[in-house]
Amino acid sequence: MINPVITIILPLLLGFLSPLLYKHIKIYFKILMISVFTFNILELIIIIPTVSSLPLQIYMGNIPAPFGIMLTFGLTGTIIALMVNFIALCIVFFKLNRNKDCDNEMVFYTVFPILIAALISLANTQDIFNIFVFLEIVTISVYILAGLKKYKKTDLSVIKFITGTSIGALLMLTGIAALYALTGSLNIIHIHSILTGYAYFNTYLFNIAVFIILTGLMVEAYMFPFNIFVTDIYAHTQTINGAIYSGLVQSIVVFVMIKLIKLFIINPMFLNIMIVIGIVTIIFSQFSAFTEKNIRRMLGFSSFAQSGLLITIVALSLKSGVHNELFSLAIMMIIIHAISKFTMFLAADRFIDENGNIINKKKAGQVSFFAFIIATLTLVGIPPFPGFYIKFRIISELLRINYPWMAVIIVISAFLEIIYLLKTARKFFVKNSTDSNEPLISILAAILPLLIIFLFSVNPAYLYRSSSEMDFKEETEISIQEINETSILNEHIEENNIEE
Amino acid sequence: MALVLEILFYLNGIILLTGGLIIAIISRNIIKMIIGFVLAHTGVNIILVSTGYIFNRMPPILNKFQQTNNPAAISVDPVPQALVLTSIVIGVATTSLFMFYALRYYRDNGTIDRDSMEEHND
Repeated sequence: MINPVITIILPLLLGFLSPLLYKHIKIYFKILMISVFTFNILELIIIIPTVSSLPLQIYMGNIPAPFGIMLTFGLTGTIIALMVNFIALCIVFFKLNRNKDCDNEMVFYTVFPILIAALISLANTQDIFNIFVFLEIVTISVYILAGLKKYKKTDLSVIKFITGTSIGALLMLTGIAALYALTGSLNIIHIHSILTGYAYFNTYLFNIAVFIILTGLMVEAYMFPFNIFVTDIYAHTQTINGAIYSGLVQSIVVFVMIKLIKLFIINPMFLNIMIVIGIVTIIFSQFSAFTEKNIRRMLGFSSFAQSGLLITIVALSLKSGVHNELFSLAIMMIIIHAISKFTMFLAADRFIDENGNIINKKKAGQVSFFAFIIATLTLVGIPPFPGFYIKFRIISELLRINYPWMAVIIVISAFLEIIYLLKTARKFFVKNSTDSNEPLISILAAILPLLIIFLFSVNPAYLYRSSSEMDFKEETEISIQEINETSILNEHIEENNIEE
Repeated sequence: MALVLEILFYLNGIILLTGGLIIAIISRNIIKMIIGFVLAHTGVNIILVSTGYIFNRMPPILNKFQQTNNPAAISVDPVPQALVLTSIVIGVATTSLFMFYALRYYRDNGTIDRDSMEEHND
């Protein structure tokens, strides 16, 4: 088995080589990029059986935790990394015949692999400062990608976006400083063991520090009220950027958020705040999407609502104090949302112009229309698609742990969602259209995610098995044991005891 | 003395952070806004580096005149200093991109005033 860190190193290397190689070997470079993402997918599939029994701990530079940076490839992180690579591969396929989409194509092929490397690291790193660094790499990449194709209002929307995310980054860094001052560690697993191991630890101050970090992340996850800064970036940049923000960036940031909530938020007051923020985000975003005319912005609002939903169900799961599967189901929901939302953005790209309005229908294709419909039905949760299975189980679990009002919110939210998404799809429908204008490679990019959706639809038992096996807390407990065994801190303590 | 110094460091950072954020939020000019963010970022960096400060300790650099078995006992915490370096680099990258987009907007529309920008947008 090859070390899974290679899945981070290869895209990073490719990004930095791009300025040297791209101009000379354009076609080969694109083939190289496809090969790298395919290799990453195969590598991650190979390690799944190993990591599902015991998470892989990798100490960077062989410096043991908590002093060095530690990457953990558990089942959860590996499946998320697999999803990131899969979506990245589809985006490269989609970009192959779209050379005129960027004013400077080489910049796209430099920034995009770096973004992917940062996202994979973000899903698997156990160092809180490392999370900050990779998140900044992701946001800086998004700033660059957003400005590659210049429309009339692009610059202003990016300026607003930078304003919002800068506030988020400042809050996050302040929270990290406070966390370090309180615990003396930056390793998430080590901090978790401090939190649970010492009875007199001031959990209230600790939770304030964590809450400042989470507020920073909420800005990056575009949650209410911070999404006022970012909706323009969906509306006034290329549609492919919407697919990258919704399908990749937002999903991973929400994953990091629920990981931190699950491990660090102990105080019920903070859980209540998270629930209120989540519910307000769902209501505000679904109603905004319902009234929105710009299709890209509408899809963006729909994604914000999904983030709110995921944060709320994880907070409710922790608040109930009863063992439930909501956390695992939330992770599966992230994957299904990422794949379906990304498909919707790619499909919508054929139907809308730079202002998000419907363009000449003759150019559109049936495959894109079909992909949009399937992705909509999956996202909303209509049987037999996998979204139904997950939402059904989420609602059952919520009823079991006595939160029927949340189940009602989910049903109303899905009802609103299906109305505005199908209304949009109806506008895309073209009578007697042929696919002659739709390039084969675009069809491939639209069909690949659909294959995954069909795979989960045909065999939901696999989905259930993976979701019931995925528990980040269990992986953390195993990691704590390993840290205690390997930490040089313990060796020092033992040496001091012997001397005494 | 140690406590006074620590409070002073933290206070300095907090004043810069809040002052910078207030400038960034109330300024109508994009350049002033960027200056506000740079000030706030410096404030956070001071707070971060203050977490590693321990009164009456040496810089965490080993030399032949100060040989000791336990260097951690005589030096300040070096980790926040390393973190601040990374944070400064990130701040520079963000500021430069912010400046780039402000400049590009100014070249196209001849203004960097937020009110005029909103009017252009409508």
